[in-house]
Amino acid sequence: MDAGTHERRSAYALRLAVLTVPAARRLPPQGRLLLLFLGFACLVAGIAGGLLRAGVAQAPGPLAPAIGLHGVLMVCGFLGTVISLERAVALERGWAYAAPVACGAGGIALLAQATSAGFWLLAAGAAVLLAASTMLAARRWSLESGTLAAAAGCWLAGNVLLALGVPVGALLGWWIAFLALTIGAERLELSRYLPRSRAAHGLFAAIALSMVAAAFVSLRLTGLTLVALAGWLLAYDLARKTLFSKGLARYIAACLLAGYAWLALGGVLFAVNAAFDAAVHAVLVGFVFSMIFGHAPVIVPAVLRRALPYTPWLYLPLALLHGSLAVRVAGGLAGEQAIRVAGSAGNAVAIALFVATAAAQVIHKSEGRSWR
Amino acid sequence: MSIVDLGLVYDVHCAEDEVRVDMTLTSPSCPLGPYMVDEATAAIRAVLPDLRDVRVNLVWEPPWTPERMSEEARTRFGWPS
Repeated sequence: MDAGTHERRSAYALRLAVLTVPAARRLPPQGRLLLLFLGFACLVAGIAGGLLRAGVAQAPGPLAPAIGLHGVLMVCGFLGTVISLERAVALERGWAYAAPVACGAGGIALLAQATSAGFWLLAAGAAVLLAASTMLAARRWSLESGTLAAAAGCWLAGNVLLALGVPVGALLGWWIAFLALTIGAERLELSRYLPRSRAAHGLFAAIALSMVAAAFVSLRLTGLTLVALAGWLLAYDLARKTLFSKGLARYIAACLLAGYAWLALGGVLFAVNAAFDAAVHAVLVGFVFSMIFGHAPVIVPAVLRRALPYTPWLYLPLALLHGSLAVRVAGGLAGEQAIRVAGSAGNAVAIALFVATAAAQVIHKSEGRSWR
Repeated sequence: MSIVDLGLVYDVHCAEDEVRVDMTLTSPSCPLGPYMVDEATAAIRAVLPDLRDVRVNLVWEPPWTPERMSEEARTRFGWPS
């Protein structure tokens, strides 16, 4: 390389805001795995609580508190821990890991019947997630980063209301906004690879703002914004293209597009105030868990530094998840309790099967490799 | 589709025994950033194991825009040529 080229490149480099991350700011993957286990403890307890409440199993013993905490454990204990862990990995600041620690510990405190402490820990976790998301947004402002921060703010609002004694049913709009906007923002960003008009950009912003506003008003209004978001995602998501590729890209697209269909149905059910269980689980299982199934092969390596190679076997839990949810929702709409409960049990089996399949892939394919 | 095709690699500086890469992501909120830095570093080291120093920097300025994609990538994603 001649001196002139070197100089030009050096000058170019000076214009770049370089982010260098000292190793000390990175939590080692083993530490992240422990945090993930906290979230998974909440997932197991949350699912057990849901099944016990549905009457699938009896004699709960130590899991008795989970019956009344199913939603809190799933949304805050599990999803909150996983999302805030993912955000902490992106930010690479030690303090950001306080969010998954607080969420996971909050879930465990709830199971130990330290209810007030548990709720406030969840609120603290959401506050740290908001701070981390705001710092990321400040790193480079965009509609996506702003939406992620707004989503964290919605979660904080919901968790503070919970700690102040507001019932879950009355704050659900905040939690749904947290999850729908988090996922929506991530898809918005990835869809930048596709041609997209300014109008589409503006429409997403209007939907996001409406969803936050709807959380103040009613679940029916939230439902309408969910339908709008589902329509936007179906129209503009990269998944429409990648569905026609192969392997992992096609699998992720299948997870996403099926999830958007459930998001639309859940939104309609909320909007018309029908079949509450079906509406909640269409969104939280059909949409949110489908996203988790789809993104795990990408996110697990980022968080744990272990590959989760694609295998066609991943379609098995995915098909079971959506099939059993269809049974559950049909049972809910028809008022058939036994069918609804059977579908719920199928949802639990699908999640367990997915975790087992993913864990087997990680362990099998990583044999002999050390943590990096 | 590689990260070069997607326009995520901004600059590669090669000296006698060191390589420095400036790369970006579409979003600073993406948790894949540190992983991709490590993977890029490992890939360079695999090809050039005798290098004294390999540095892969994650940078956010200038922001990534779709114009940075290669013609092949843009065509694949449906951008007008």
